[in-house]
Amino acid sequence: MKSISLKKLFLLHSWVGIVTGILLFVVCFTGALAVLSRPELKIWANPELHQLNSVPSEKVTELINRYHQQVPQEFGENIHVYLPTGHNTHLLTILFESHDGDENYDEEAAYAYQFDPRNFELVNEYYGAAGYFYEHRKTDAPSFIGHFHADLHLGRPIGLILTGFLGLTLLVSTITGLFIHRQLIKELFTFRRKKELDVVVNDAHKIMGIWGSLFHGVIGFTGAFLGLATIILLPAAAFVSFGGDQDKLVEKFTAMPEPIVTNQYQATDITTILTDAQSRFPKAKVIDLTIMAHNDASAEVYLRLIGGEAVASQLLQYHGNGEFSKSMSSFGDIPGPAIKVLELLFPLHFGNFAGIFVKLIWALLGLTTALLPLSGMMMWLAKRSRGSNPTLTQVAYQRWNRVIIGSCGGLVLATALLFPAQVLLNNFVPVQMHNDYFGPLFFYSWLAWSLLAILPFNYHRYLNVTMTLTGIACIAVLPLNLIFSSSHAFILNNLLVTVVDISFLTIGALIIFAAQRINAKQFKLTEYANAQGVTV
Amino acid sequence: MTYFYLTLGCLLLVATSLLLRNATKAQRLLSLATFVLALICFITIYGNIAGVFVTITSGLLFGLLTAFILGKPKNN
Repeated sequence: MKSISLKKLFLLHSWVGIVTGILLFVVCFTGALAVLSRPELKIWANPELHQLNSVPSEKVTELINRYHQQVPQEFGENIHVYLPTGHNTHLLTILFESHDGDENYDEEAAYAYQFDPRNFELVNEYYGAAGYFYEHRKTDAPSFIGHFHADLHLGRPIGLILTGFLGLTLLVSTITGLFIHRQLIKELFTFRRKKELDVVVNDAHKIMGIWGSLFHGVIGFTGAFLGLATIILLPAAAFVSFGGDQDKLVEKFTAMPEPIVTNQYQATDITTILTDAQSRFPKAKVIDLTIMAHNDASAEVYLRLIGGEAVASQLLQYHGNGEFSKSMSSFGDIPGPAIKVLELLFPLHFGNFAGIFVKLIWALLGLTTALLPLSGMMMWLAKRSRGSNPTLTQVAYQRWNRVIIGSCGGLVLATALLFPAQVLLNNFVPVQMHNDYFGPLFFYSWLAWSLLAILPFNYHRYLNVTMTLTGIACIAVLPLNLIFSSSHAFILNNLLVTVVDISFLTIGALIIFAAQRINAKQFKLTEYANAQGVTV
Repeated sequence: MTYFYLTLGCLLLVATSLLLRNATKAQRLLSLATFVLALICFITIYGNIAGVFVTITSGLLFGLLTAFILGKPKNN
């Protein structure tokens, strides 16, 4: 490739990285954590789920039948059951939905009943707009991070467009990076760990970029698709094929068409259906059920399964009498290779297709995706502040470094604070009020830490304090759980909590260790520079 | 048996990275062979499609970790 083209690609790579770097770090870092948010961290955050194996099918059937009798007839059209698996709600939730509402609501309305999965006591009752129920479900630290990753809590469509666009910029940076560093494939293992920080960052940026290029590209592409699909691609498809009618398009491709109610009574055999699904796919987990025309001869039941042999989530269709109908993708029973590729995009982005081993790989590689824009920005600043003719003064260099530490380090600190806060909330604040705490805690701590960047203190000290506080927040999780919770790391049959608490302790200790190492290295460098009469 | 194949697959991927790091022609060929063996292990556990995805991403991660831990001062 001509050197002039390479130079243009290098400029594109640099400027895309500089303009979107901080936002890209925010999305990628929270994405790396979000990989583990459901179900692992969600189970950890909700004591109701700690020692729960599975909910008995008979109990689910009994609750559906009992509460169906208590709601008006039109609310039996659609019944959604969310099982407490850590993927949806933390309680067993049965939601009776009427698409056309009722005398009080013109929109979709619902009666919802939520039960403690340990003893099936009714914990929460709701009647109102269905949308409001979904929007105001109880959140927790991992869910909060997961939602923040998806749309930056900016709502739809702005948040989704922004994250989708960031996926595109990641893809552009990955491709241009591969072109401009293509000769470095020979230097796959070049990492000069003992050199000064600039060289370490430079080498780290290159090896993370080269080794992870395929992963970064896939995450960028799938992220762009997930962000932009419903906002841009769906209206575009409707415009081309359905004269702009999106509802018609959704209706055509919906996986769960409405059955015609016959008004002939036939008990819907949910117990048999759940048992049959588990015997067909023993390694998969049923996460929710949709029952249409419950206890009618035309009843249809849909089960959403995740895990097992299938890479993507699957939808099982049963007739009301318990007879298995078919297994299909979550998009419905649509033939063709395109839909197979489309359904692979989701597990490829979330890393949820093959258990915890794959999730850990996705989380670690996701962290490298987050570190790439960060190291890129550091390289860009260093390059412009060094040499015989620097374009950036030392004061400006210090200031920009503080901005990066304040915004990116502040995000890491704010995220770390959510976890000890979760333990305290679980023990001292009523569940209904949890939602009020996560947003303010996260955004105000992030904002406060970012504003500190205005103050003219040494950025190394700023970094050091940020890392130390983040480490302390992580370390605090285990002792807080031990002191205040009845379900902590050191009780029997609580493996997940034990692993998560000890992981937090280890990660916190490692962060503090890294902060001390960076501090010691900087001290040595300053001493050396002082001896040589140079300013650092 | 799953844990056995998982451990074996990971060890083979570590071997692949170490062989690639030394980078003589014979070692590169050998690294390809160990990668294929790791692929077989992961396909045994996760099935065809997921096995391929897992092997490639694990290979990338182990390669990156090898570069971080056993990074060379300059290329050969």
